[in-house]
Parts: sequence; structure tokens; C-alpha cells
Amino acid sequence: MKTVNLTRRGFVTALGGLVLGFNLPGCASLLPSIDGTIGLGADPGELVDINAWIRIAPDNTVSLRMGASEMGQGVFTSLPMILAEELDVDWQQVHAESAPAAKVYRHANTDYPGSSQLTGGSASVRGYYEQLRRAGASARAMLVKAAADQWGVSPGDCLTEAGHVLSGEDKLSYGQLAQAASRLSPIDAEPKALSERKLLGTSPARLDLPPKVDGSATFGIDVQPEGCLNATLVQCPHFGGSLVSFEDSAAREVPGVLDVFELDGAVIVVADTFWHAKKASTLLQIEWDAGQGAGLDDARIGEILQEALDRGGKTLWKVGKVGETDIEAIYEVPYLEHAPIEPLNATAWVRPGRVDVWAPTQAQQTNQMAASRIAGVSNDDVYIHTTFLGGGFGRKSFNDFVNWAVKVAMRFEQPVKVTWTREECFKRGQYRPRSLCRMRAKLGQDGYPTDLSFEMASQNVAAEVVPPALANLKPLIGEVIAGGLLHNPYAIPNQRVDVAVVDLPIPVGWWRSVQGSNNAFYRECFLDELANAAQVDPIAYRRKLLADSPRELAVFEAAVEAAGPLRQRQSRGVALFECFGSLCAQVADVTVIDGELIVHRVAAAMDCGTALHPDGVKSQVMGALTMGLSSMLREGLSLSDGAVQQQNFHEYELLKLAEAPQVTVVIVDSGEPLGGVGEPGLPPILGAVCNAVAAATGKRVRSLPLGKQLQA
Amino acid sequence: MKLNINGADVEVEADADTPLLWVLREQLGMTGTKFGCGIGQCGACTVHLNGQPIRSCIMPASALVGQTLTTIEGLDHPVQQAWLEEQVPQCGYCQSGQLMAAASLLNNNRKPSDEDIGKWMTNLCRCGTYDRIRKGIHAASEAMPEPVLPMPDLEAGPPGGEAGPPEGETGPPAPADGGAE
Repeated sequence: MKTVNLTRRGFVTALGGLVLGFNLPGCASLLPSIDGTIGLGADPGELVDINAWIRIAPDNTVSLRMGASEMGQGVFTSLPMILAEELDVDWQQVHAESAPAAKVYRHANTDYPGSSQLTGGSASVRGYYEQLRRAGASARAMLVKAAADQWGVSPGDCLTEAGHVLSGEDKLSYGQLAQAASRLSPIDAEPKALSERKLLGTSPARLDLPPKVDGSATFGIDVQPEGCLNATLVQCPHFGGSLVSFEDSAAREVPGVLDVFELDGAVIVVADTFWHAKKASTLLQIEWDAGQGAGLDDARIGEILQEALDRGGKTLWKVGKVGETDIEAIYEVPYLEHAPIEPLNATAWVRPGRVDVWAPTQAQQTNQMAASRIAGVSNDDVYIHTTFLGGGFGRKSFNDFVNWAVKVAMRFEQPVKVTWTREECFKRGQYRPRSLCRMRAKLGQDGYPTDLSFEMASQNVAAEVVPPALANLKPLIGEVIAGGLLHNPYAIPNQRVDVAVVDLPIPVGWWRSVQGSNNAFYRECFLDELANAAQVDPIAYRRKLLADSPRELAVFEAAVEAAGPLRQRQSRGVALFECFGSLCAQVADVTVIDGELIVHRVAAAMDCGTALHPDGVKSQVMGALTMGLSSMLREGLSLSDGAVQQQNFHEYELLKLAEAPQVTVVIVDSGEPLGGVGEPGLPPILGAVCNAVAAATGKRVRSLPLGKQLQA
Repeated sequence: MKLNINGADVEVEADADTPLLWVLREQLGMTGTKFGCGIGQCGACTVHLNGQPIRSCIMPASALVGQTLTTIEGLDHPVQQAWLEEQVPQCGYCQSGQLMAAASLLNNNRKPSDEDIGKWMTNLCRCGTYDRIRKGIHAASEAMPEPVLPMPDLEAGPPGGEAGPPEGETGPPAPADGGAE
């Protein structure tokens, strides 16, 4: 094995002239500021901090810091709306910017105790809601007090409107009051009553879209601090395998290549540009040892899952006692890659006592902790600058791509951007796990189920991010593996859910909607099988089973109504699923001609409690169900010797526009507590389309993707 | 080599095989054009060559000397306003490419049907904005003035565009190598 052990000092010498143009410490102004990174803020030099979230400029621009990452889900609009509502400012005044990683920017967790600065779990709006309302109300009270003090009146004699404080003939803008307000002690003020709201519940234009239609939005991959080097990496393709040796002479001949070295089992190529690094990486000749991955292929993984299923798992939930059953089916889903179109990347600059990271990240808090450990600096000396994310879907909540940037940058004095090729992203993902689900049921005299059991075998998506002692606790598995199967809304007297956790060296993780991305397929398709066995229409079947679940029934009826009458020669499928605190029902109208599926229309109904930005909710449901449809048509990873076989989009085909259905989304405003929005729109499409396919063809699809199954 | 980008001649130094994408992004600092796959599949790198969409990640810049290039930074087209009106983008990463593809579609075919749109728009969007992309194209079509001259024939390629798609091609050119290594 060959390694190049250049110290940072030694490397800089070796580089010669390349670093001459680089300015050493004190050059922070050369870097994109937090505001510049996002491109929405006013001149940061003029902004006055009212509190951790709110900064106001003399021209009355109100710049709001977001603890959550904007990855397309619209939080740079919905979260500012919560603050702007309380502040009483005009939407035209509002700018959004990314907050640094810091305790104050953590949100209350929605499903477990504590708080975190992590954008995931459809948690941003519901997690930050109370905090932001209070921060907005407090800032408004401080601005009012500053004005009242100046005028010698009582705050009670003042009003606020469109970014101004008014009292009688007097009027001052927030911009004029910001300095005085910032010197006051924080004031604890009550947020507005629901009836006083003007902004929440409307759909102002998204703040992040103008730079996204003219090419000026800055994503992680666009960050290029002065003097920045570019690197790429080649990791072991075999999970459980290792690097044996590599030959890099051809790679080193590529112009611009500065160094090639082994680091933690991967080969790193550093160059002046990413193009040169990428080109050189393809010229490396690397020998890998498949290690634990040897022999681990699709068939073997299938056997391991089947064995686990047959051994039986832990019972996570039961009601009544499931007796003899007479209908049984086994369903299966494959490993999936997140495939955000922006490949993984991060830029790090490691200086004595300070680490700066620019990244399209969902996980500032854990990025900061990990970078601090790697670089040996304190947590507070790690500055995470969050850019826009070119898609996340869960993948960018893992630390690996940020850690690589820090580890590589530690060897250099200048910043280094580590960009993954698409092939590398496919090869080292954090995949949605392959899983199996056996369902058994017994129907009563009336055709409705009396007994229903689910037995699942799956890897645990939480295993890599939760301490081992906690990873297999029943409540956790009940959520991240079996969520949606427990406490299902259908009135069935005897039910049981068992889960067998499987341990494999294949990395798995949160993939948009997590458990929903398989369980809606399992539960909702099997329910249709029961309806078919009972010879009852699946819509009528669900209506009866939901008779005692009014919230679910309402959202289901809303979707059916939105779908309207079925067109001639089309077939319909329906499904319902709850996750992340929201309910979504979908109706898919399809035709299957000569084995080719066309999904014409999908009608969806969403109950997320209250929709703070209805158009944003509709956009998310449309996007989520379209991504779900993509996953079920042709997506699926296969393995050989523990290595993923699909390398790029020609082998892992995503849905294109021509196949995307027309989508209608209706919002059911139940007034229940806020639910998540980014993910709950995904799961139902899996059931709705497969049920429609069965209605069209009589063929029951029990394993995804659909692929060519309809052509037989 | 000298390239003509967004109406300006620019001098760049690049190896003969460097794709246009990386000349734009790494030498000219024009980062609106995105890297997604490197094999001409996803379309995030779409720019216009003589008014027609190409995948810049597989097109050597050295082959483009003397031709007219337009990137998202140089695009000024009603489809951008339509994208804002319909609130099309989500994460936005693919949208530079989607907009370049959509603008070229409308320049070739002022009133595209859903089928025309489906054939032309082969860019990937992982957020799933396709239905709004379709709406955005129709909205831009409505907003665009009626052409004074007869519409160019889509089948025949762009007017005067010797570098346009081959005869009979109705969508953007497919990757030359079919996406293989």
C-alpha cells in the first residue's frame, strides 16, 4: 500500500506558487458571509440584533435567522412567517438567512424529549413554532417599549403596523428603533391570538425562489473561498471491505493534480479544480478486499431477511389476540438511494483553533460536534455555514460528507472543498433499507377483518445515529421501522405487530418518510387484498373500517371527493397513511396498456392540523408523492459482494416529467396540533398506485419496484 | 480559447477535454449551471448552444469555439417569471437546467402540448416539481407575445442552427454515449 504523508507545511512548500495568491488569517471578509451564502440578507454591517432570531437594518429590512436548513421544503418562508406575524412587519421587508450552529437555534424535538438543530423528521415548523412566536412577540414588545420611552407614553398606548410603531400622530419605523430596542432587556410577551393573525394561513411568495430562477442561489457545491483547493474521494465499494493498495502514477500526471493519498481507507485526490480531481480519480487503479462484503448479494440478503422473518421478532404492539388466519401475503421493498441532484460536498478550512465548514447540511449540531472531535478544537470554535441544499431527503443529515472535508482540510493550510462524484454518492449511500413484511388476516362473516398481523424483517435505520443501548428499544423501532402499522386507524379487534431487526454491513438511514416509504405499501395494499377477498369496493371497505376514526375518515373522504368521477377506461386506487403528525390520503387514476403504466391523475388530501402556508403544503405533497411514484417505478439497488451495482442515473432511473401525473391537493384544516409537511405526502402514493394497478390488471404487485412486472 | 458566452467573448485556458460545465463553474465562476451526474443524464448542466439545449457536462469546451453559448446567468425569458408565479422550484438545484430546457422548448414551439413538454423536458427533478414545471411552461406560453414571423418548424431544428439537433429529433440530444462510462 502506498500513502503520501505530506505534512501541511511540507505540502505548502511542494505547492510553490499556487498558494501565493492566498491571504492568510484576517481574511474572513474574503469568505461568503452567512448572509452572502444564502443571498437573501441585507448588508450585515448595518443589522442590529434584537434577539437571536431577529436583526433589523436602518432601512427597515428585517433579517430573520433560521435554525433549519432550506432544502426545498420552504422553511425559509414558513419559519420567517411565524416571526413576521408576531412582529407585525410587511412581507416585503423580510429576509431570511441561515443561523450558525448554536444551542439557541435548536428546535424542540417532536417525537422525543430534548432539542436539536437538525432539519428532518418533518419537524421544522412544528418544532420551532412556539419558540419563534415567542421570539417575535418579545421583539415586537421591545420595539414598542423603545418607541414608548422616546415619546414618554405607555407601551399600552402604542400600536404596531407594517414594521412601524404608532401612537397618536407619532410614527417610527422598526429600523429607527432597532438600536434603542437592542439595548433593552428581553421582554416576555404573549403571542397573538389565532383570530388576530394576518399572515399565517396565507401563501406569500417564497423568499428563496428569485435567486433560484436566475442562477444566483448559492448551494454547497458553489462555495469557493479564495485559494480553495478541490478534492474528490474514492471509498471502498464493498461494505465491510477495505483498501489493499493503489497505483496513482497516471492520476498524478493529470494537470492540476496536487496530491493523491490514502486517508481512513479511501483514496483522496486533491487538485486545483474538481474537474482535474475527478478526471484523475478515474485513472486510479485500486485493489479492494471485499472483506465482510464477500458473498453478500441480493439472494443472500433475501435469505437473511427471510430467515429473520421465520425466526420471528419482538412484538411491538398488540390489541386483542390474533388467532387463526386464512389470508397471507409477503411483501418486499428494495434498498433505495436518496439521490439529491446536488452531489454530496462540503468545504472546510482548518486553522489553528478554528474550523469553518460550508455545507449543504441538514445537521449543523452533529456536524459541529464531529468536526470538533476530528480537528481537536472546542465545539464553539467550529463554525458551520449552511448553504442552500440541492435536495436532502435525509441523506444530508449524516456527518460523513462533512467529516471528509474536515479530515482532508486538516492536511492543508487553505480551504478544501471535497465533492463526491455521482458514482461515489451511489456507492456510499445511507440507503432506505430493503425489508420484508408478512401480513396475515382473517375475515369475519361480514367480510371485514377480525384479525390482522404484521411481521417485518428490516435493518434498523436508527442504528448508526443512536447509541447501541437505545437503538433497539421498542418505542424507537416501533417508530422508525414499524411506524404506521402500530395503532393503525382501521377498526380491527385483534392486531399484532412483530419486528425482527436484521444486522447487515450495508449502511441505512432516513429516506424521505422513512418507515412510511414501505409501510404504506404494505398496509394499504394488503387492505385492498382483504377488500377484494370480501368482494367489497376498497373505498367502501375503508369507509366502514374508519367509521370510528373521524379525522382519518374526513381526510379520506376529502381525497375521494377531490378525485371526482373516474374517467372511462381508467382504474382507481386509494390509500391513507399517517406519519410525522399528519394524515394524507391519495387517489390515483391509472391505465395499464400492454404492460405500460400511465398514472394520469393523483388527488391528495392533507391534514397537517393547520396549514400555515397552504401553497407550500400543496407543493410539498405534490413533490413528495411524485418522488414516491419515482421510487416505485424503477428505483432499487442491487448488491454483489457487498457493493452497490448501480453507479449513476442510467442504471438507477428516476421519474421524468413525461411520467409525472397531474396532481390536485386539498387541505383539510382539522385544527389539530401542527403536523409535519415535508414527508407525509409520500407514503400513500405507493398503495394508491399499486391498488389502481390491481384494479386495472388483476395483478397484485407485492414487491417493488414495479419494473417490468406488468409486462409478463 | 475564446468562447462566446451570454453575448460576450471570453478568453479561457482549458485542456482540450475539459467539459464546458467546468469551464463555466471553475474558471469563469458562473455557478448557476450545475453538476449532477457527469454523464449527460440529469440535465442540471443544461445550457444553450446556438439556442438549443445541450448537456454541458459532456461537451468539451474546445469544441464550442466560435459558437454562441447562453447560460442561466444570461437567460432573460418569460419562463422565469412564470416559474415565480407558479412557485415552481423547491430545492432549486435542477431548476437552472429546467429553465434552460423550458426556454428552448418555448422558443421552438410557442404553444406546446403536455405531450410536447413531456418529450422535450428530460431533466431530472428529485423534489418532484414536474407538475408545476408543466404549469409554468403553459403559463409562460400564455404570457409570451404571438410570434411575428412564422413559427420555426420543430422537426427541422433551429433556424440557421447547423449545430442543432439532428433531423427528426424532437427532444434535447440524448447523451452521446448512452450514459455508459
